[in-house]
Amino acid sequence: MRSASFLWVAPTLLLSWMSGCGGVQVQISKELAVPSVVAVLPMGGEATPRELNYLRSRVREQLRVRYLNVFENDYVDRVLSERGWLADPDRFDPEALPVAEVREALGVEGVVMGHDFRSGYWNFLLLYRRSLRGVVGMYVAGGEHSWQARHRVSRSGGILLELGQIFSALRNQFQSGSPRVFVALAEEFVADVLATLPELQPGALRRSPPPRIAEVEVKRLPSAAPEGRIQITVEATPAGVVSFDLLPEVVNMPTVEVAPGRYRGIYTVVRGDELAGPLDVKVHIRDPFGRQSTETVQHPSQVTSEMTTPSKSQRP
Amino acid sequence: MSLRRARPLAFLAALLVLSCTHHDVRTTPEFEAARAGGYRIAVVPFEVTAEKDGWFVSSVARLGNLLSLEGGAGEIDPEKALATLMRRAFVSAISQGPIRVMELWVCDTELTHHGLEGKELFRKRNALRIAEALEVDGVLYGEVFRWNRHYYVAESVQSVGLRLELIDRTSRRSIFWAERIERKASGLTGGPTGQISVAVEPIKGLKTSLMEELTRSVTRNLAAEFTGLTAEEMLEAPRIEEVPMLSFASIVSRHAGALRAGEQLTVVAVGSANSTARFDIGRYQRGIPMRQVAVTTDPRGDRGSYVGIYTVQPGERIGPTPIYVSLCRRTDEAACNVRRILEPLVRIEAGGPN
Repeated sequence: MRSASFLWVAPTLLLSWMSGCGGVQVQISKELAVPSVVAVLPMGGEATPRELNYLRSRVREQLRVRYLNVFENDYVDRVLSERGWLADPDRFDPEALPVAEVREALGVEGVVMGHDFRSGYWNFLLLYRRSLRGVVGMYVAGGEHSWQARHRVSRSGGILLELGQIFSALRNQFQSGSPRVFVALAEEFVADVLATLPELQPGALRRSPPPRIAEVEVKRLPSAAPEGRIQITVEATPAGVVSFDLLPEVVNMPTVEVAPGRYRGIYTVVRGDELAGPLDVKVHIRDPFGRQSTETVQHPSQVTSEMTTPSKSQRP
Repeated sequence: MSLRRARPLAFLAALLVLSCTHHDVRTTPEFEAARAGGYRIAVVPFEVTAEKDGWFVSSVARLGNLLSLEGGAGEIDPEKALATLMRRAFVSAISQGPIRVMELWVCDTELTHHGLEGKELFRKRNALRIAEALEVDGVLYGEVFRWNRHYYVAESVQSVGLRLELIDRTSRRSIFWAERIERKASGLTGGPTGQISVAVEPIKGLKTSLMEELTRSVTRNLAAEFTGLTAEEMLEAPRIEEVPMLSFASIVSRHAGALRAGEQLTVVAVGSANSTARFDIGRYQRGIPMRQVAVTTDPRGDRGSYVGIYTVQPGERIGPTPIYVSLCRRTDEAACNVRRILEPLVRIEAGGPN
């Protein structure tokens, strides 16, 4: 009789513990001055790359609605790659980054970093549990964390746990492994964690002018290949991301900032490209916050191998 | 059937109806065109028209008490706190979508500068004035019309309702309207298994954490309608049957070792024909277009061959980094098959700092 009671009590206690664990553990520096311009670094941990990317994008979007200027994640990745800190995205360890140097390279007041993310799921027919845990911190001048939050969220259920609501239990068990549940957990995690971050007031923020494109040059490069190459050179606001569209199927061809404010990209013509007649080149620039401008340049004549004189941009 | 027997069935039917989700969406062709790209909107502060009662106030206080850790801010207006929470949750959910959203702090600051505040912000007749002041293509309004709990002894229901409307600047009319109510019911409709659960479950169903779940769920589901993105697409994990087939991807190298200035990185792929193909150089350069250069007819489905070329510029220095190839449906850019090319990793050394 005694052992039978224990067999009922022990699982009940275990289930109560599973469903009851949670809560954000926060550490905040007394001297914390919340920065107005931040970047969110790639996340790390044992969760899948997709899950880490999603968490990162949620953190960024939730920071933006809390009156912070936040760099675009793609821009941050580009700078990290250029500096050799982000070579292989699938094997990235944010804790190995020199945070102070990263913050300086990006030119932000603070960086937000997440690590030790783990996503767990098991389903034993009568019982299931889906969980997500991790640590998110903000690092400002000096490199030490000014705010750090450790949190775990979970969904537990199953007929064994929800014996009093069997319809709900069956429905929840059936859906427990779906991407929707992870999305819901991720949102709950990010919302809980960022709720502990002090907020700025809107008046404390300043905004730089939007990026501008000043000049676009299109020319054909001499090439041994019969198809040839087209070079686009753009003068625009420095430290942006510039791309161009040449054809309906050739969009967002990247460029490189070869000098401050000067961007260059080359498109190699391939078999099947139809480049007869005037060429419409659309050039886009995005600043680190994601604001963008576009200029359309119409190349006055057909791009042929005899073309040597570069043409200048013509504002419509 | 006698009236005596019909009464409990009618009660149960009413509870089932109460526990269901209500969802209604109306869009116009202008909205589909806006979602195709380049459209920019401002989301004005939300209005709260939900019936106010004791539960309303206490539940918002629980959610809103962490809006600031600075302290000393005095009492938080529960209505304003709720409107802020819902607005933020919705804006952060749609920011991954194709429609660009003005930052909330820019929107709020500019509205104040133009003398637009208070109840004037909720009046849709001001939409054009707001759109011109903020230089956006459309203005999105939100109304929290349900935020309630009800207890019926053998059943309890918590519900959250949000209504949205997008007014277009050009056409001067509503191009997106959506309304959603989500309810969490506990008690008879959950399938009680005994007398104790009939009494206990409705009380357990009044906990505030359910309101938080409902809030996030309502904003998430409405955001999915607004952006056209499912949870799977947001996680970049669409179902395998919905994405093009990508059967082969490789790098064509003229030589081993790092690429120098002027040299080309060529990537080839084979997969479903007439798809949109791109490749990424790690996280350094993303979405480099690939061109379909040949189509092979096959009884299992036409196969397309794709080529993408990246020319190294002076000053570039990255790697070793992997190449990722993605093949997406032309009619749905979110339905993509992505593959990492395992070998070789690419190095670019054309001078420049590292």
